[in-house]
Amino acid sequence: MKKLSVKIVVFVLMAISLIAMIFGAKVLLLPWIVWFSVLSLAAWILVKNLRSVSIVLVLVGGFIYISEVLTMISGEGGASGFAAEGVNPEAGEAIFWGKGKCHTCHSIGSRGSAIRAPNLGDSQFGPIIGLRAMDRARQREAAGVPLKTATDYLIEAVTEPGAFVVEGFKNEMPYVYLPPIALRPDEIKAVISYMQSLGGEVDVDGIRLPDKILKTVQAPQRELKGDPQAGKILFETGLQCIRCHKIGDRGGEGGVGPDLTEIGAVRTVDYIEESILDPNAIIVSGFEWTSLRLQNGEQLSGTIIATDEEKLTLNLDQDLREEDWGWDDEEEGAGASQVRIVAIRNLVAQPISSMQDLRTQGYLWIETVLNDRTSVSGIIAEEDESSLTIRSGDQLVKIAKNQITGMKGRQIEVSSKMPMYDDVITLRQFEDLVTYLASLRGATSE
Amino acid sequence: MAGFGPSAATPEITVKPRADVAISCGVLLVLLAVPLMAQDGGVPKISEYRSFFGLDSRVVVWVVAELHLMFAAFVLGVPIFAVIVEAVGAKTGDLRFDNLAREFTKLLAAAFATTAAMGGLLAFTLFGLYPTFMNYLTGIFDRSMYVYALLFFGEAFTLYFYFYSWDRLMNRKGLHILIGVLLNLFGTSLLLVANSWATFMMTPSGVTETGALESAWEAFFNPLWNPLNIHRLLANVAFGGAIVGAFAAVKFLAATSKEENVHYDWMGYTGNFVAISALIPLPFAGYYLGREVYSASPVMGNIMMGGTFSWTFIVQAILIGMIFISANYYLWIAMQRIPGAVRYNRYIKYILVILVVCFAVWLTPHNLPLSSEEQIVMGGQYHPVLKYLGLMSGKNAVINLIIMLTFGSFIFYRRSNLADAVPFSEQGVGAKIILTVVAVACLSILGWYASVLFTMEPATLDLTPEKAAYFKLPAWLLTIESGAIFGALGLTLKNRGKLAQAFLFSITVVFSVFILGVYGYIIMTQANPFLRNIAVAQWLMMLNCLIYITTIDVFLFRTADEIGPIPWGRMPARSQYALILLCVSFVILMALMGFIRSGLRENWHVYGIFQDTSDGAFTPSMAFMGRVIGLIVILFLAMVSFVFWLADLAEKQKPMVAEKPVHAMNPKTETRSP
Repeated sequence: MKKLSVKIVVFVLMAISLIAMIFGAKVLLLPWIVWFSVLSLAAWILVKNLRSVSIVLVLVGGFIYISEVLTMISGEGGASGFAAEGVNPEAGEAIFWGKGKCHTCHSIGSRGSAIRAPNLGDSQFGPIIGLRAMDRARQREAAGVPLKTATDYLIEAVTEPGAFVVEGFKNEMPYVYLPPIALRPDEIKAVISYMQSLGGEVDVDGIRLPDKILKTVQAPQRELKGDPQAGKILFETGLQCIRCHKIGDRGGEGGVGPDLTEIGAVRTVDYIEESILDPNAIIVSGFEWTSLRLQNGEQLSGTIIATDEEKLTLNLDQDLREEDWGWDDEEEGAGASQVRIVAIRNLVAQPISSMQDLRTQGYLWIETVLNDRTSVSGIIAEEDESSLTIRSGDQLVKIAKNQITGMKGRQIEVSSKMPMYDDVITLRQFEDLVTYLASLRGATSE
Repeated sequence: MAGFGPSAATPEITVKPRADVAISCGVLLVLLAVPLMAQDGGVPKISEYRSFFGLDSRVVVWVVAELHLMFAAFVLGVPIFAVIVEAVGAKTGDLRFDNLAREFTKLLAAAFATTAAMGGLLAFTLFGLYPTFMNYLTGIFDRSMYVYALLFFGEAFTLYFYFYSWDRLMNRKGLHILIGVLLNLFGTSLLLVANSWATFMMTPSGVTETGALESAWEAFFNPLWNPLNIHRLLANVAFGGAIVGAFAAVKFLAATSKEENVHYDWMGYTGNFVAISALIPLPFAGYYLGREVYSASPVMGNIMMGGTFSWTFIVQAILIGMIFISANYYLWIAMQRIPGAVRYNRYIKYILVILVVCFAVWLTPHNLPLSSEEQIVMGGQYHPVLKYLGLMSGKNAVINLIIMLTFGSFIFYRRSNLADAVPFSEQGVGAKIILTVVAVACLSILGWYASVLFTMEPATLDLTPEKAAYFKLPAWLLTIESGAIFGALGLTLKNRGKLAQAFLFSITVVFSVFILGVYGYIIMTQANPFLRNIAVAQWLMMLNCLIYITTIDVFLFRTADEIGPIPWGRMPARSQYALILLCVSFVILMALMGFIRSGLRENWHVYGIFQDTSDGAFTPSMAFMGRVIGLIVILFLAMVSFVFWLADLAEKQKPMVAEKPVHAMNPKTETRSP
């Protein structure tokens, strides 16, 4: 009787550990796979007449475990870092390796493994794409196609891929602006700017997409009830949005807000609504406003034009531009009175309390003290739940988070300069404004 | 009909879930009445979604659909070989085959009601949780849904007639087999109809860009329809064989009499034989399906093999490797009980080593997701050597070798209790004619594909004219392989049949595995689009080789003396565990491939046309997928065990039909494997 009870207990525990794995239950001292393996072995030895069931459970448990291991090593569901937005190489990079699915055919140098389409890095097909594009443009011009610049070629390659197919490859690249990929025009522009950044010069303004792409963008997913004319009046005179935002060739003096000429074609209605109600929800790259304090006690604020791992370029606020702050930082020649380049190392470091999602919190550069009293400082190259990889000089240093005893970092918090309108306008006015903005599909001013 | 929600024309009406109404309707009512709501103006702009008692609708439909598919695969796959086994019994006069076919059918009859119930539940969940989408789909396929319902009647009637008329038609076997064939026709037709709905969702045709119906026929005969038909038909047979094998294994382990041991040992062997026979062409049916996925939508193809789903194929590789290794292991154990098998034992260790190496290559990924630090250590993203093993060319080569070695194990098993081959000249004129006809058939197939490659225009693959030079080698190899088949014919006619088999086997391994395996790497860099043709050439060589060697083997050993009888029923328990392992691997594989096929649509109900805008429209992680599939597999195995147990309850109440001693009916068939 006692022996039977042991058998039942072992078998039931084995089944419970499997159920815990299936439903992703919290770890109980040891990972569930360890419990499951031990109990499976015990069940195999003790409960001989149920070995068939043991085999089933062991195989299913093994399958679940392998699936989880593959999720861990393939990085699925891990920290995604910054969600890039807007038309810029960072957003383009995110689209290239994500939503755009470009990486399933193209590799870039040693990044990626796809071989179905030409490698866009330095490879047997030529130099890196930003440089190669100029050669291709010349090649196309010689063939009688009027492509003048590298950007022209990149636009053609992305929007009309069948026009020129690299030898040895099939003409099978899809139109990325059509389903199932269905990139929006601003996303296509971002990808092209990413291509430009790979060895070439980024020229976002030079990326002019063919009209057919703007026309193919689908109509709003839901019916809009507002009056676009009333919305236009509100935009131009009531709320005076036109002062900051450009539409066609009107308004937007000073480049304070993004150009909205094509907003209805490039953004969803949900996005437009959210941007009005909560301008900080998603801030278009190039319009991120920040306030910084430097180590010398000085304070400055402005819009971030560009960032990289070591510096950020700031378009200073109007009221600050005239003053002489006496920075040590480099000044840009032509726009010296407006544009400043600030080295991240010159920002004031703040103690960090939460070690999770450091990049999402805005920390770019950190200094860590480890439990062996050594210190590592540098740019955050990678981050996951349990570790940090820091680029210190030319070296990458991986640190387990549980080794860190103290941490300081240089944080850049961004916000939008646009005021909140949620308690200023009525629901009717809100609908009118949304309807008007959703109707803007590349039309120029009347 | 309000219970199914408003039509797309009245999107502002909010309808609460009406499970009570849905449950009270019958499956047929759903199928017949819902098309009335169908609209043909394209995809509605706004979709209505409902929740299943707070659970994620997608997961609910996923679980129910997969359970239905598994039962359906069993119910559609088993009758195919049940009828064949019955026909063999009728032809040979061996009642053992007849009883086996009857036992298969007993399982079918028990599983059929569950299949229908799961189908009903699937229909209710689909119409209940995705009313707008199902409204659209029925607008496209209403006619074929009527046909489906009628075919279902046909399937039900013929199945029960086939099962219940077994004794009554014992003396009219021809008629009974005809009913079985009818059953298969209805079953296969059901499969074909339902496949068109599933494949339309992946590669829609016959509709405009906005989804408006242009041609119901084109929608039905969409690009993936035929590839999926072939793949599912073969997979159903393999799946059915594996389930039957595991059923027999469980019964064998629980057997209390020698007769039961003998019966279930043989049943298990037959299940394994059926499963592996159907599995051998399956990778190539899968390759054909995958190729058509690429042709229909390169985006979807890349998501499958190079994107989100690429890691699932590593798991698939592990499962396929386990299936082949456990099938071989079962054959090797089974050989140990046969006195004459000792002649072949020395080869087993070599086969095992090569199988393990092939298995390792088969599951090697092209690259691993590495951190920057790890890449620095390894000197790049790819391992300098292993990166080559992860490419398609290497995998095509090793799967061919795995299949050929498994075939080799089977040939050894088949010959184990037989003395040496009989000279072919003693087989009569008929044997010579058949051998020649099969050789001509093989030549026709190989020659046809060689001529295709010799005359192929590089432009059809978007290649420049000089790339045509790369087509020559596989074309010549196919031509030489054709010659090798005729060489094997000549050797066999000169009573050197075993030499002919060894010659053909060796030539095929060299050509298909080694030469074309290595050549594939050159093609990948020089003329990548041609790689798919290389794979077809490899497969044709291998398949024709297997067909011809089997044909020779049948004649060489047809009248060979027996060293001793096969002692059926004397198998160690571990052999039966191998059968169970094979079955569970098949069930997991089926669930995994179902997830991949359906998941490839990502966030589209109908790919590129009708977007899924529900909250659950995301591609799950591997970990999540593993858990849901684990749940499905356990549910299915528990349900199928329960259903078989119920079937056995009825059986225990009446005495089993007495099996006549086999040797009393046909002594020559007693000791032979089917």
